Amino acid sequence: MSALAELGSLGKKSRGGRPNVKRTYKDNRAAMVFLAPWIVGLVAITVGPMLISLYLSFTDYNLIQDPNWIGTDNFTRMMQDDRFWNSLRVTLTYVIVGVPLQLGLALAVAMALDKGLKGLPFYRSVFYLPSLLGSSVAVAILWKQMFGTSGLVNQLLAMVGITGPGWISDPSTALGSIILLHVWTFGSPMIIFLAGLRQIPGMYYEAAAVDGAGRATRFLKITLPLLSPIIFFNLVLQIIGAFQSFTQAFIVSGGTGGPSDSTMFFTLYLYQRGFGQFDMGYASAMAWVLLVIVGVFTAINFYASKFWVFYDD
Amino acid sequence: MTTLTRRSALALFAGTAAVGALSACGTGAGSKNADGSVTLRVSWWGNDVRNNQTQQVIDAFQQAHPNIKIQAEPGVWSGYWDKLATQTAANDAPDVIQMDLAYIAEYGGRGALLDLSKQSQLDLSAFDQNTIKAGQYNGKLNGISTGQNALAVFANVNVFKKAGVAIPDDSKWTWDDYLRTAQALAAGAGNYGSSYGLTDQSLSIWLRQRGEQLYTQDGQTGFTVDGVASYMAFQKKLMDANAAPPASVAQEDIGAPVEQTLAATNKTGLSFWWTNQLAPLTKASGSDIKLLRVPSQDGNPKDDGLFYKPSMYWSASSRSKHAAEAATFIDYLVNNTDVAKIITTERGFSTSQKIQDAIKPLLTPTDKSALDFLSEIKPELGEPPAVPPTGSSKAADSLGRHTTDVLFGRASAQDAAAAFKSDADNMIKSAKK
Repeated sequence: MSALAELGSLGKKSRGGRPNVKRTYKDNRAAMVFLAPWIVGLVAITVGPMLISLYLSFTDYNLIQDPNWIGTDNFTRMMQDDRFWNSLRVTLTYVIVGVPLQLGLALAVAMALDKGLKGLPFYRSVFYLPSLLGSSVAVAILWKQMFGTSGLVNQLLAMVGITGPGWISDPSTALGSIILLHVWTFGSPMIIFLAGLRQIPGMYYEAAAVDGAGRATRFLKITLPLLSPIIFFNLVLQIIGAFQSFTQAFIVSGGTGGPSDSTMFFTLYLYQRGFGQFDMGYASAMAWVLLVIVGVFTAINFYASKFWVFYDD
Repeated sequence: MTTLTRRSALALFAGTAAVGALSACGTGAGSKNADGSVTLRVSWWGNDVRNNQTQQVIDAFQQAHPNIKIQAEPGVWSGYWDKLATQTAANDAPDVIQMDLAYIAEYGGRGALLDLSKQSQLDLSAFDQNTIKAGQYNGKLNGISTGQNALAVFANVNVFKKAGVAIPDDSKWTWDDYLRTAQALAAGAGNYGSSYGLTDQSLSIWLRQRGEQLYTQDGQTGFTVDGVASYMAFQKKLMDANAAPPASVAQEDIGAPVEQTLAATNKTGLSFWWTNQLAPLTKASGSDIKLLRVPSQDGNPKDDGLFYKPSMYWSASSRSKHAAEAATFIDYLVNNTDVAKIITTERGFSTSQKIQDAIKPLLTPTDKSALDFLSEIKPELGEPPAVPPTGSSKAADSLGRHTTDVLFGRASAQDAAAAFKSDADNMIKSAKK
């Protein structure tokens, strides 16, 4: 039976009352057919390589010669590696500063757009655009040009008599410039916020207004609680995404993580160790450390969500 | 009127679990094609000029050897090494590989390159001992040099004229002279004076002037912390004396494409380049460029530490299924005079007398001035430096990073130099099996 026919009979069955064992089996088969491409992909492209990289993290694999088992050497070396700690610090700064700023802006813009603006689809697209482009190489290159010593930003500043620094070439401002790029790509959380805001029934606000609640109260007592699952969702995804970000720093710093390692993201350092220094064992170990860190952050997030996320069920 | 249930919130997460992109798989060239010919994959980094020339050479080779097909894989320097590392890891390295001094031990020392001295198809008789030695590591010939060049100070004649500064006499100039000249240029022409030469090779020359070396013949670092600290301190001194640009401008200059560097855009009058970069720099700056010796500590050019560097090599993968054909192609590249007439000096000046004679009538004025410079310094050259050991290919990045730390005032020259030495030592150590 073809998958399509399965799907057709599924629809009939769901109306047809009591399921029996045979039908359950058939249901599963249809599901498996549809899931197969994803499962094959998951095993072959994600789980397989992950397990291999777990093995490699305990070896001295250098891309060219066969790996030798060296136990936990890579992990002990990591503990003594200043650049590892630096890359962790840079990435944490990026996550802890960049994500809240980005989500805050996304929410603010979403709320502004939710006011029933004329031409909303247009504005929505305009604000979403950076998200589509933001992680692309082209925009990172544009950023590099704009924030160069004699780039657009400094030319504008020069008009008002300010001599701007070399934004991306000065260690004290380089990371900030990349965080700004991240914040600017607030489009996708904004779209999700917007959808969430649309779900909040207008009558709540009307009732609250009748009871004399001001704007701030309405925001704090109605919008935030009802939007909290969406905020949580965006928070988790953006934190995971931010930990993994690579392209911006790679392009803006020309692959070096410079100046002075100030934009040396964890992933960038991992990449340099693996493909630059032929230290794939160490890079694999770093990848697993990152997985654990992201896992811990996500677990904390989920745990903490019990105390502030409000589900309407 | 529900907003969002726990179940649907979780579904959101599940829906977002994206499936990774399919990785492109190598095509794994079979041993022979259907018609009995073999296909060689050849990779190099370069530019449009080099790509066109190399394609012409490939076409000519295929006509002469109908049983060998060449599949060209041109690239650019910035992505070349990442790609090669990945291909090598996937056991999918090209058969013939354009190689660089910084990487030859990285690959050769790990057994990824073919020992060319064992390939009868490759005739090495035209090359002198130094050329052969430049491709040897661990007793194997990992690559054959395509030609040589030397590090020089490029003096931009227009900038000197504009500043009203005379081009210094490089047969006796010292680093102090260099600093004063750059200062005068900056003041006179209203630009930055001098570019920095923050590469491992310029450090190598600095160290040689002090009787030290970057790496020893037995594959260790061969310098003292003081040696590197003095180098870094001098760069800082240039900056503080307004003889070179501020740190963040220098930072941008490091990553810039040749045509956009301070030197190529006439924002500095003095800069460090390899002699084979004379043509692109002359073109980009629109100015005549005079090649000067690198200054020395004592003003004696015999002590200026210069050396001939192999511009690049031709190597073959040790896992190539067509070692004999690869050697045939490399032989064609380095020994055939028709090839030399197409390439002339684009890959450096060949050390083969036969090739030198063949291209003599074809040399352009910039070729000639580079060649004059090379022959002028020849009597002053010392022993060529050791091939950088396995593991050291990223030491240059570390040097750049620590030197810019000094320029930004984030580290003292002494601390930065110590950090660089420990970086380099660790890189070499961790590459040992």
